[in-house]
Amino acid sequence: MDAMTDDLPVQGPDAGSEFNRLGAAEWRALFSDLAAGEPRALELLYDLAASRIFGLALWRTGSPEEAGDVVQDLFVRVASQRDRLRRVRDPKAWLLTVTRRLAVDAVRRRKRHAAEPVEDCPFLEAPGGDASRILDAQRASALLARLPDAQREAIYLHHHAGCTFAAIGDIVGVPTFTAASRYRLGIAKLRRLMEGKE
Amino acid sequence: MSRDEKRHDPPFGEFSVPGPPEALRERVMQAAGAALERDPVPDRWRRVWESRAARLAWAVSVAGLLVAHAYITPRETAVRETASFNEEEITELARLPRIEPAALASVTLEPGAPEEEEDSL
Repeated sequence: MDAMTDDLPVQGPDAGSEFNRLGAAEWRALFSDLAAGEPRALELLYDLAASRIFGLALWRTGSPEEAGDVVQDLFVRVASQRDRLRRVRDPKAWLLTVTRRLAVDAVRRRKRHAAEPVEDCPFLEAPGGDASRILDAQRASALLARLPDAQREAIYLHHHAGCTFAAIGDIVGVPTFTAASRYRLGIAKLRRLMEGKE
Repeated sequence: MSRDEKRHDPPFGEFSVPGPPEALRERVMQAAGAALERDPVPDRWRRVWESRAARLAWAVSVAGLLVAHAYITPRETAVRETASFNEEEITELARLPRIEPAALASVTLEPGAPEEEEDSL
């Protein structure tokens, strides 16, 4: 076990902020441990990234069950294709890119079988048990559900995964300008929805 | 990934994105742990590089090219000699025409005055 996995304490499952704070060198060290087949590196990756990965999958698929499957598929892929992890230059972007692809595949599979509405998906939750806040979070989630997938995804990547528009463009496979446009259109639409103009 | 742009306030900043369910961790670790115990799946290029079928195809292609190179000779050139000249004919063709002595009288050796060029307007 190298220094990377020894130094970093294992975090709780909602350690999303660590995901954004971890430097590129630390990510590469973690991927190096994964490439060496270290089981503890896999656990550390889960504690660091599962929250953000699950969130992205949830915002893209609109289904907690499918988001869970996406997280599982991602980790199985990381474990089974560990040889290539050493060559990954930006592990954080790689994780988000693969997660997004898996989520898009999950949505395609679902659409082939039956179209499930995402209106009831809990995209957001309220901290604490205040009933009125929980209701507000449900309302906010319902508004997010009315956004196109690509716009919702851009908002998530920008605000919750800490990505720049250039990074979003790389992850999603579109030019930076398109990524920024999707974000702006999404925010504008949310504003109109909140004002009851749509 | 963060410093080159102005940060915007997140919409619904007071709420958070739900985390994965508790039970997911064990499920994921079990599946990933099993995958970790297996041999890693080689990537696409390594699969091609190590593929017996690809190597066989490569060897057959090279052998085919060698056979083609050795046995398939190019056809004779399309341009053929339709008739062969003999030396006498060539000499005859190359001989300058003779000038008849009678014709020489009409040839003046003095240079004639150059013709005046008409001025053009």
